Amino acid sequence: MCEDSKIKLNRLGLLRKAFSLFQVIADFSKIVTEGR
Amino acid sequence: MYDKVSRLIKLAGYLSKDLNGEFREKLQRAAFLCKADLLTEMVGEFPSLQGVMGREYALLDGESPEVAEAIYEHYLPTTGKGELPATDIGSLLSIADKIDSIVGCFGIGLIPTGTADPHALRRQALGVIGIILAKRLSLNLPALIGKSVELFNNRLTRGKDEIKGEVLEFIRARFQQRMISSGYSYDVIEAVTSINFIDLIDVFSRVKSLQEMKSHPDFEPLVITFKRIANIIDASWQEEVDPSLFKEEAEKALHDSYQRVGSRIHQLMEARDYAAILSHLTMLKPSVDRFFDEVL
Repeated sequence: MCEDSKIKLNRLGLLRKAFSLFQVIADFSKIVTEGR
Repeated sequence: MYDKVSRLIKLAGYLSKDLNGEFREKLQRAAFLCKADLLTEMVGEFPSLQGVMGREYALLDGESPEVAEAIYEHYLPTTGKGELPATDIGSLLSIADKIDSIVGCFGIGLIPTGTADPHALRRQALGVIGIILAKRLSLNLPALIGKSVELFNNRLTRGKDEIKGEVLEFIRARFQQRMISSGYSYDVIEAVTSINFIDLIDVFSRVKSLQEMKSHPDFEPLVITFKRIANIIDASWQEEVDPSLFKEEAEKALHDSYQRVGSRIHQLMEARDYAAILSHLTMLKPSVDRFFDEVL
């Protein structure tokens, strides 16, 4: 795997970690937001 | 009837497995006797006296008052918003009886339709939910359903996993209905119940916290941040993050923030302090936004 791909996957992994913290409470994608 | 009672004794034993011996003994005794009055001519003639006569016969027969009361209470609630069992023994026996009935009916295809619910399974599911919330019983609902399915041995005509999934979904729908009628928003209820529907006390606590947070000005931006992440990471997964591969300051900042906030959130999870968890999630937001602005 080339360096760029590793960096990109690492970044996605970091986002996934952050995402997992939100999911201890709820799936926020189901929340209706207004106007955006 | 004997099969039903045998299952109830075992399911009551499962529900009380961590409780003291005397409580468990009384609960299982009540389970053993709770359907006996259905065989009497009195209840045959006046079916509305089921449980009432059971309590009287038990007392006349020298059973303990707790056992007699549980025999009466296990039928409660008899209406959607009716009286709930007051005693712990009656509450657990009522839950066991209702779960057994729901699982049994689903197991042979007697599933309520939009227009027909001849076995009052919706009322029974609402009864289970009402008792759990009123008595603040922390139960693993999928495990309880699984145990009930197992107790039917091979008498069910449908697949076990299918039954477990459908019964849990049936109860989830009733829980949602109850939350909506209590004034909680549908999207909040759906967001909470869709990721984890195991312990109703925990689920209710998350619904309350999220609903309270919803009117806070920080909430909508937090949701938008979450949706931004969800759009990016969809179908991608990596277990570990390697900090040596970070190239940008924003990556390091998000990683530091994740570690700091994550560690605190895991502590707060133990206490189920969801209001505090939501507050900590807002602390993560600036690092995520910066990551999006500077890295992606």
